[in-house]
Amino acid sequence: MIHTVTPHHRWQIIKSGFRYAILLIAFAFFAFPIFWIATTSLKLPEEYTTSPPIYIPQAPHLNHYTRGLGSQEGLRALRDSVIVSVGTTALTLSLGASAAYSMARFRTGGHHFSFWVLSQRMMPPIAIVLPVFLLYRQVQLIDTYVGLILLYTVFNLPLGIWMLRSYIIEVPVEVEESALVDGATRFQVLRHITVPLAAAGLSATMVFIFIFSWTEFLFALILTRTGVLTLPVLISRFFGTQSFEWGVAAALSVVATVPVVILGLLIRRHFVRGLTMGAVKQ
Amino acid sequence: MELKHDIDVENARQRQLGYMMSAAGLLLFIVGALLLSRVSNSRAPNAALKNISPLIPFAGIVLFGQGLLVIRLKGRHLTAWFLALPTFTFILVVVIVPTLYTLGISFIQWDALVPTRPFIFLDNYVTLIEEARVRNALANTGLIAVSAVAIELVLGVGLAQLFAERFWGRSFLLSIFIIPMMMAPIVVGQTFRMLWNTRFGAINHILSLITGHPVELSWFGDKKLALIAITITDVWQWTPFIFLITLAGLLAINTELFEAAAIDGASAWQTFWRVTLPVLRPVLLVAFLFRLIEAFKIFDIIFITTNGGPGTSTENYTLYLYQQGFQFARFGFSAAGAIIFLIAIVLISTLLIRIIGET
Repeated sequence: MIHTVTPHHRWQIIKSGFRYAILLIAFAFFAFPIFWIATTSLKLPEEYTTSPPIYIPQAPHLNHYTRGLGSQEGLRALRDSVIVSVGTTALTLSLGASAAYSMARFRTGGHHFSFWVLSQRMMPPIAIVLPVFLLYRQVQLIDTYVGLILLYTVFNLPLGIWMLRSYIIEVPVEVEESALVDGATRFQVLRHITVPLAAAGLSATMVFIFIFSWTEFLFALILTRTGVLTLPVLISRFFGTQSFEWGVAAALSVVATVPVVILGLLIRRHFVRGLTMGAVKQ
Repeated sequence: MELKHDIDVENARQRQLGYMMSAAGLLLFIVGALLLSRVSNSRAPNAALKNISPLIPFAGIVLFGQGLLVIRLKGRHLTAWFLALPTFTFILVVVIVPTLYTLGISFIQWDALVPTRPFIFLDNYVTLIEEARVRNALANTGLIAVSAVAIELVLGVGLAQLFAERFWGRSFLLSIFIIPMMMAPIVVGQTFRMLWNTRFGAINHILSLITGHPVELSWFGDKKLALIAITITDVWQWTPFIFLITLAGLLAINTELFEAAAIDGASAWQTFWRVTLPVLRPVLLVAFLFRLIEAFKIFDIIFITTNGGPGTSTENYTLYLYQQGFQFARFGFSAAGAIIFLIAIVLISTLLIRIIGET
């Protein structure tokens, strides 16, 4: 083949240049706010209250982190966020996995039931939290871990069940059946065949549930007072009228963001399935 | 004859086990309920007890139900329902009970400052319809949701087109682009609150650099600007959602389709409208409806940036119900509002679910 710059070739180069130009703009758009929150957490207070703004901190320091996490509240919020998120993930997974297995293998409840479960995810949180608040007040569940965990679990169960179901369906049923014929019990089949084969999906589901509980704000705002304090609620409190605390708020925001981003990037391949609850596969 | 006898014995044993489980479950439920009522009535209950007591009656119900299953079912059916029962019960208790409760209190007048709670049937709903602030909140909800999702669709689908082919830096950019979705909306709102700030924010400064004039827009001080700022904030966080799902749909398209279009001499533009979009339709519809339903429920971003202001110009329906219910303690009234919200969302999600069922 003769290598000359054909019109087609030129078009390819223009197209490639065009692509990178747009990608650069998109990159700036998506990365800038992340850059901003990260740098604000390192700035001196006078650096984030100047006009025009300073983009690169001149004397980066970690004071905001030590103040944010060094305070009693910061550490407590971190601890409570971990307790609530881990608790929700554990409860949702144990309830969801058995239901998902049952629905995937035996079609328990049929088509309509599984879609009814899915529809629970769409519920407007404000409509659920109002009666839950009144009921919790009656049984003293306001401001408790278990109160928050129960509500988070119910909101995450549809996601958990649907995601897990879509992974379990992908484990060939013949493998399970041949083990059953060989005399294995259902429990052994689950433990030695289904769970290992669906392990990637299981961990992706766990991460998704964890992220949802970790970032939730409305329920935590309404159902907690002083006994339980999650990171989003603490961060929201830094925005009174004074802007002096921007640095501490930014530092706490970074602390609240880094763990979920790391977890999320680890399961990047499963993202589409998680976002659509198994409806669209990647 | 002997075999039949064995089966009978086996069945009897299973039934016995079932009865025992049901009895134990019932007992656990009663004990748990008593404990719960004691905790509820005590002034300063033990923290651990407070956390455990609601779980005991629930475990009791589940055990009771599983006992009944053991009595009545066998083999596959038993395994199937035995595994599913805890979850079914859980969803039923934690979703159905509050929903019925909401419906119940939506018929009474229940305000924190009024000692009586008279039954007023549909009056709360009538007030809801007559209230101008409700109409304003509904209009804002629709405006923010529709404009945000429309922009997200255009940007997301466009961006996905660029990612359909391999290029240098693709994986890195993909990772960056999905970070916004993982961030807490409250963190996003707070970050943008700094960015939109009139004097210290970067957005006004960048606009000044681009236009060459000093820009000092008061983003959260003006009705229109505040709506735009909130919409763009949502676009920033959720364009990646449409982008990622569209990309998955694009990559799943058989490349032969594009080759056939190229052979037929279709231009890139024609290929996009005539081949790509029709094939992507189901995936796009799912992404669109998922986003729309979520966008109707935005709370965190508005709460942290404008809290509905200036005036009520960015107040959406969720924020309105939050204020009525939890700041003014108009429980009956906001329950009526919640029921209307539930019905609306159920209607849209039924549509979504039908589409998912078809794909």
